[in-house]
Amino acid sequence: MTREEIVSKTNAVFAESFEIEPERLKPEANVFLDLGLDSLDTVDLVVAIQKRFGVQIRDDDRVRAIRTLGDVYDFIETIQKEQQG
Amino acid sequence: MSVPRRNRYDDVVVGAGTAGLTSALLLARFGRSVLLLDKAPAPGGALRRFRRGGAFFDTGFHFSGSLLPGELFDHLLGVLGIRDDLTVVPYDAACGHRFLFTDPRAEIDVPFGLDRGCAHWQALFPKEKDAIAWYFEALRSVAKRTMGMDVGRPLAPVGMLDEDFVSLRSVLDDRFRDPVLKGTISAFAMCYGSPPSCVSFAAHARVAYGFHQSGGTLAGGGDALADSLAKAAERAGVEICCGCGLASFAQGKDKQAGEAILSNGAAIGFDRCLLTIDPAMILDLLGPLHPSPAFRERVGAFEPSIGFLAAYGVLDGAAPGPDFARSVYSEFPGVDFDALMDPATAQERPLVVIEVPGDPAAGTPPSISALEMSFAQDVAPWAQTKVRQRPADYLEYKRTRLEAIGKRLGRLVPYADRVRWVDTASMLTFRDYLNSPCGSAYGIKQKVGQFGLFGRLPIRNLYAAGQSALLPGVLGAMMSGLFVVRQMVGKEVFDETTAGAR
Ligand SMILES: Cc1cc2nc3c(=O)[nH]c(=O)nc-3n(C[C@H](O)[C@H](O)[C@H](O)COP(=O)(O)OP(=O)(O)OC[C@H]3O[C@@H](n4cnc5c(N)ncnc54)[C@H](O)[C@@H]3O)c2cc1C
Repeated sequence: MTREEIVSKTNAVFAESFEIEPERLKPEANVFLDLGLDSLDTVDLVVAIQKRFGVQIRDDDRVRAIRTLGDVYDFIETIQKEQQG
Repeated sequence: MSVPRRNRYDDVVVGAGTAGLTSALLLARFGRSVLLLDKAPAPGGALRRFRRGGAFFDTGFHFSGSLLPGELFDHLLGVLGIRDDLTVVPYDAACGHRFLFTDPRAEIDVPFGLDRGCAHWQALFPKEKDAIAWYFEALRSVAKRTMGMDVGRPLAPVGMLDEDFVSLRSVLDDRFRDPVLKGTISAFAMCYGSPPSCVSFAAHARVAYGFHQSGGTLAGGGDALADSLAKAAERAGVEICCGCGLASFAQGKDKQAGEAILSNGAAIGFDRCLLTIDPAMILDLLGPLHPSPAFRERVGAFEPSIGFLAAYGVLDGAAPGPDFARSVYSEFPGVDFDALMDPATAQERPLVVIEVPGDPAAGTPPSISALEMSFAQDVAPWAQTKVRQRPADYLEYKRTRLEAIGKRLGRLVPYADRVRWVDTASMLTFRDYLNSPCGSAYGIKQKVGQFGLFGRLPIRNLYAAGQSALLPGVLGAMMSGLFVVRQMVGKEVFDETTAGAR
């Protein structure tokens, strides 16, 4: 999957599953401070991403390290590579 | 119907089953003012017994594992301060559970104690000695690393394990060859309700571990546990209000719910509200508060566990022999549990028979409960009907099932011809008496990698616990109550206060 595809699919998750206006979805946007999610939304985010990308995400430290939307793209790119390889 | 005395409490707990009673009691001990609500006329939820033909029958607490001193159930009773109120009645340690497979034919016992169980199965399946040793070690290892299950270090903070992300099916197929052995390992699915291809190895192991440790019940059954929990809760200051359900929440601000609106119209204010009811019902209650679509989708994807069609009988005539009520008997018409637990299967359904001794002094006869696996699909044609208004074809369905169970009973026990059936309950019966969405026995299916609804919800002043949260069964419901309170009052305070109670 190309980076563009990852970006557009991830943005779709935020727009559809968290009802965030598409114009706010910038890579530097802080998921918690700017987009208004909080730690209690993390499980729902993880489940939504798993479903959209067909990957398996564990409750691990890398999820907890996510701050910006760009971090989310990077994280998905990494686990996609791990789980295909 | 009772009505709440006040219009505001620190905490409102919804559902007075095992999880609700446990958490209300603990919250009150931490100095909170607590209202515990239940739609049903008395507290206890699935713990409540009922009386037919002079005998008492359990609804949803026939037996448990981990009951002996130092094991998890016993430990939790200690933390709750009710251990001395209850008497454990252990099953026969040499064969607490007896599995009878009919195709291929095999009789397998589960002796209690993991070492003993391991040795016994190794003797039955000598070619798979190593795999069996690995399996029992894996049960121990999962239990040890699961938060709250290691009684030595009860509150070690551990999240999901690797074993939460592999299915029981993949472990069975990777490690074992004999189909009967695979069936034997899968058989405790009757105690958590999800098929091997769906359940994670970790969820399987957490439940199986307890049932291999020990087994038995409590004198007085579920009523004894419900009564001692309710009494302790009232002593701690909990106000229990039955016959009165939570109907909805008023709108609140900042991702919070407003007041709790009860079925009698009363509006009750609270700091926090804990929901110990089925996730599907939680989703309905939260709907108007606009949780994210992601939340709605996650919870909407949960599926119900298996349920049971239960037949209840009393034994007429002379008392049964000394082996009576010392083991639980299960009959499985096959060894592949993915096939057995497929609602569309043409096979007969697994059957579990639980015996309860009578009390000659009190004039109660010995009795049995025969639980046949069932699915919501079985009763779908009558899903719109209510207790006492069911149509004739539904009654015919129950009669046919009862007849089939009666015939099978003869293969399992020697006294089958002396059983007088006094009632049957379908999943609809359980649904309507337990106020659950479809009468499933264990709430939701435990799926690989699934995150249940536990703890604080995305509506900030609401929390969830119950059998669907962490681990199915009465023990799992109790654990969920304990852990949610730990989250609500804060780990440090909780651990300090409960440390002495062990
Ligand atoms: C036939 C059967 C056999 C079983 N056998 C065993 C067994 O042998 N061993 C074992 O460990 N487990 C067994 N189980 C499972 C066990 O009973 C449950 O896991 C456990 O009792 C669940 O406890 P809980 O507190 O989560 O839910 P429940 O006990 O179901 O309590 C939920 C309560 O919420 C109330 N409620 C629902 N909606 C509302 C509302 N809107 N407002 C107010 N109150 C509401 C209900 O009336 C109910 O009392 C069995 C279950 C069944 C059905």
